[in-house]
Amino acid sequence: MAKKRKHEEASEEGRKKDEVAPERPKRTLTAWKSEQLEKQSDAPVFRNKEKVLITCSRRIISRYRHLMLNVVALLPHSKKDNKVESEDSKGATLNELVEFRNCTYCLFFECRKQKDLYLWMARSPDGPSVKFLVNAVHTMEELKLTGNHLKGSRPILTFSSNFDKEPRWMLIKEMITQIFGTPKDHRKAKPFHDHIFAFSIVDNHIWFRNFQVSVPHNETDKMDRGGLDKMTLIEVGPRFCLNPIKIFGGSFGGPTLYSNPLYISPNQIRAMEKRKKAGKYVKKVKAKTRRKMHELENPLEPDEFADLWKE
Amino acid sequence: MAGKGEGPAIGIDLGTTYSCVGVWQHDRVEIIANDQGNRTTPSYVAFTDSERLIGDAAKNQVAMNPTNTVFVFLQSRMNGLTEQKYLLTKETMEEDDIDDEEMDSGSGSEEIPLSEPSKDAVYNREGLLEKLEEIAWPKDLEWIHKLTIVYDQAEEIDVNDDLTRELAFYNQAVNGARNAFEKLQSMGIPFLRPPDFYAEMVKSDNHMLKIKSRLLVSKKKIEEAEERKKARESKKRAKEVQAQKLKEKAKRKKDEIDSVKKWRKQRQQSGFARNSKAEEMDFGDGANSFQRSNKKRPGVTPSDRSGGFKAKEKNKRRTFRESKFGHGGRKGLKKQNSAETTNDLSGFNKSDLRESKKRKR
Repeated sequence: MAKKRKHEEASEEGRKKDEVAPERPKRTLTAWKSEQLEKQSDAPVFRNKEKVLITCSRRIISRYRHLMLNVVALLPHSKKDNKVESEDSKGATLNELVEFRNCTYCLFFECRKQKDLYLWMARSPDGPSVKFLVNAVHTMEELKLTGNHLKGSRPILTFSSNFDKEPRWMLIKEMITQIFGTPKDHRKAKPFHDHIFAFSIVDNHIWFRNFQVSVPHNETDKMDRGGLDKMTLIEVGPRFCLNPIKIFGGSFGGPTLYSNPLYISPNQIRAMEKRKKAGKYVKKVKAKTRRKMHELENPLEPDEFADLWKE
Repeated sequence: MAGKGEGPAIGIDLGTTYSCVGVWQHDRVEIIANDQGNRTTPSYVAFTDSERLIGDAAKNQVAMNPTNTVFVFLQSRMNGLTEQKYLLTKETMEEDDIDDEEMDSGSGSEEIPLSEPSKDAVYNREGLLEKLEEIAWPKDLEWIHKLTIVYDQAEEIDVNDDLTRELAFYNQAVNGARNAFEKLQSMGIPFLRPPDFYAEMVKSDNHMLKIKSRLLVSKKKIEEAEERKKARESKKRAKEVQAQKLKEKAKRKKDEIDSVKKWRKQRQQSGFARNSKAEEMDFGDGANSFQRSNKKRPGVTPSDRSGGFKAKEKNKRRTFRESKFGHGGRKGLKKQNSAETTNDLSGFNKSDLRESKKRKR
């Protein structure tokens, strides 16, 4: 007890001294705490807490389901959920589901007519959400893609520069970085970097590629000399191409902020092709009747010399 | 209008069925009536042999003169016309008729919906930017949290050219990886996977084995194809070499014969050839070797091709064997059993059987 009291007294003395003497920086275990560090600790530390819920609609075909599973494998901060019935009220159920699973983002793979795949990228609970049509799908299972990388290593994201040119692309870019970037120090993430995602806008579509980065190295924090030049990339997959259809203000709904003026739904394309085929016959019939009418209107003049040689 | 609204303004509405003209005067609109007193005029133009009819007059004679009457004149066509063409003449009308028909026939197939942007598309820039602000991470965020790299794409890429497109993506990725790795290296944190760090991979080992075997198979296929190609080529070359050799051989032979003939001719011409027979023997190996020697061999029949070896003494053992076994050729039925040989028991001996039984015991 006596000791403690002594200590208190000493501290009191110290305080008194402090009032007079210029303030001394606080002491830590190893060194003096600098002021800058203190300032940093004042600001709220950023922590990436994004979690992504990944689901798909019922009656999705295997190829697209495999694509979804590939995405799940690539994102260690994602949670997979059961299939959801794709109906008009799916937005509400999905929002509920996302909230229930404690997620901030949702990737919803919606398959329609066993043919067309739509991808919803939605931030929950208050938007925005983007609906894409997915084209040119190649899954990781394909044997031509020979690369491989650690499961859960944090990917490097590269974007083509045209992502920064228009507000719609800027918004989509932000969403993609938050969804596809693995949070630092995530519990399932590996501490090494061995793959890279490439997002590129070509022809108003977003193309996705995933490459393994192979660099000659002996140490973990240094590449060999000239390693940058010897760096090669091997594609791991999957591949897909996203065609943005609409951007909504809310999650799975809300006011439309953008709709793609160039978008033609696959249904429309198919219908057009059918009509084209049917049009061939109609055209032929029309041409025939026109010819007939023409012949009737302009009858041949009677040939004067027709029976010249008949005698 | 509000700024300099002194003068009158005229508005023309060219509708598909009716047209109408209005004037803005004295702060209000007046619709001008036509010569019949109607405020709207039918959008009809007709030609007769002598005159041009417009409006009601044209409409009234449609039934009588349908081929030279124009109506449903689309406004959109009007837009492109200059003032001169605007005054219809008979010629321009006929041209238009043809156009119309062509349009009709082609409309079924050449229509491509939405090749140009649709007009009712929404693009709310402010709303998008607002949303972006709402969801964005702080601006001064350290790079290590985001790990994003922006790559400046040089030029437009042709989407339908697979090779250039993929190359562009690869270039983007390589560039991004280089930049990122440089940054990571400068930070001084470990970022490369050590060789003894084993962990689950994205693709399973089984799958990687499959990939490997497929690669091996394809490699083997290529090698085999190459080998076949090589073999084919070498065969071709061997054939050529063979042909060349044969040719050379034939040529050499011909040359030799020629040279000998020449030599002999020279000798004949010079005159001392006939005297000596010995000389003739000398070059016998040259010319005569090609002719058949008609020298008779003693004791050899002319049909015997073995050169007389056959007729020399026959081996005794050989003759014996031949008498016993025959000398080649089909044996025929000579050695088969017949009824007589089976019934012939002359060689059978009872005691032999008994002895053998005893021996067994």
